[in-house]
Amino acid sequence: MITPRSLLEVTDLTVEFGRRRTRAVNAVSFGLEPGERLGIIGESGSGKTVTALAVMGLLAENAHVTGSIRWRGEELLGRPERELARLRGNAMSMVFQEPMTALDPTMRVGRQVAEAFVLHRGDATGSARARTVEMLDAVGLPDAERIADAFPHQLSGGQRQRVILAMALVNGPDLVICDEPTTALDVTVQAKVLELLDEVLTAEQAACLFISHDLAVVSQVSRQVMVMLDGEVVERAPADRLFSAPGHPYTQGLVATARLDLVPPGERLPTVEDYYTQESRAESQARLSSPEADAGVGERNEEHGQVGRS
Amino acid sequence: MRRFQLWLGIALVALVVAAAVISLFWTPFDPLRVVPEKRLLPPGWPHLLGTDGFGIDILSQLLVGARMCLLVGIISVSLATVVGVPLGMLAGQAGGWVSEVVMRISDVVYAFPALLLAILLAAGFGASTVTAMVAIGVATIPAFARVARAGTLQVMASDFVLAARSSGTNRWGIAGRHVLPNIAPLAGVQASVAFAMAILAEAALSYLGLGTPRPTPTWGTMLRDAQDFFFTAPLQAVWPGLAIALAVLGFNLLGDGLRDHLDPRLREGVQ
Repeated sequence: MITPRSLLEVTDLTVEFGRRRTRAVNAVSFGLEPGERLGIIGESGSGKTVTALAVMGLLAENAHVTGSIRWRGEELLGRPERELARLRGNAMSMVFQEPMTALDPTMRVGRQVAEAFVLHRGDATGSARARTVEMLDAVGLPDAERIADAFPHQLSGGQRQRVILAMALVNGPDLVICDEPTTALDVTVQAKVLELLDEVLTAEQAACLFISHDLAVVSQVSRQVMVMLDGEVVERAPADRLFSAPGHPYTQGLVATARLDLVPPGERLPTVEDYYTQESRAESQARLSSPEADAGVGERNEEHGQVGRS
Repeated sequence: MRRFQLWLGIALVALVVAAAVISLFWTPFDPLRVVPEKRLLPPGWPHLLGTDGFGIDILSQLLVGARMCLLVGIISVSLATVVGVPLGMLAGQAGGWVSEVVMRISDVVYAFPALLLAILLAAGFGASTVTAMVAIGVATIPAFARVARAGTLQVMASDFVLAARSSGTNRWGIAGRHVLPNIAPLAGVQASVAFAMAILAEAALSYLGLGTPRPTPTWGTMLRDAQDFFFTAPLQAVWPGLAIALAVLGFNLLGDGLRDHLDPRLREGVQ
């Protein structure tokens, strides 16, 4: 499926942390065409965020990354930090999970949005302010002029998440990586932000890697969904097929737990373990992981903690 | 209560500053002129706080002493801030062996008593205001480096630094635009505490004759002189002691209040 003009092409991506080389991501491969959207779904510690950070080149220094990450045919792994910084925020950008912590509390939000713009475009013509206000307006913030002068703590969670979205989109990137962008929001705000995300991605014709643990949320944004479990991709399929005919037992469990409305009242609710038991999971882990990466799930979570996210 | 503390701090510091400024233009009597026939006068008129063993007006000396205390405080704390904060940020951002080297050197300086440093400097360059300022400043650098490093580590682990990096900000941009503003309140509080400590240290050094030499009056030398007449004129020691205590209290209260004021989250009272 991968063609030479792919926007992003990840092959056999493996990420290990620390001296003991605990494996967080194991031989993950996927490709993205320009404008294409791919959802990644999986539980905490399944390697979703580590995969995203690896693509951005933002992993902590104790991470060993092997495999290949190609951007428009060019290898990104092993490139100097300076060249990667030129891509970040410009050609590819990232939307973070926590609107409460992803904005600098000491900086007016307008300046934070403008920061990415000035870094890559410069502000010789004084156009950064105009572009910032335009962007804040585009993400549906009323009275963008006033919001640009506000500090993060003066905004609500939904407003902050829109600001973060504006930050990621200010340079019109080709790829936007969204790491659980709506998890911290309440359901009504979540729906609005997802709708907006869909709108702006279409308007900018940007490709998107959408990470979530919520199957319903992922399927709202992207047609293609990839399921990750314990650092590996267990299934990739269109969202509707994933719902109607999940292949992997883990996915079957996910789908069953996502459709709790189908359970007759009074009956026990399904769990993922009904479909994919801990024993078979441990078995497949033992079979797939290399001898030196013999760490259990708990330890994997710890390693995720080292890069500050899970 | 918080407000009251801040305003009390501001009032006390303003008092010290006002005394220093007034002393530049006017003092009730010449703070250097020895008048043997007016020795050890009790408080009254025209010598409001009395005179010392040389017949010099105590109020005039106190006013001029405020000048020296502020000067030493400002210079030594500035020195410690300008050197200590960037070192701490470097250690916090670079990590690894850079951090180890910076922090171990800082530990060595921290373990070295300021008084010993002042004696060494005074032995080498003679006792002067400058040696006192350098000794106090150098001895205070590790405190700033530690606070700056701790703050930097915390900021570097935050999501907004990751977000800034994902926008392509390099390490200098992160240091200047994100780390520095976020650790500034910490450094501000540290500066106020250090200022109070510097005032105490300066008094101690001049008491021992290692700071500003005579005849320039400082609160420390005044205390030293008062010691000789402790039983005949005990009030003479009270005045400089009170001045030191109030100045130290003032800077501590001011620092506490400033911390609350500098933090935008606390300032607006949201969350």
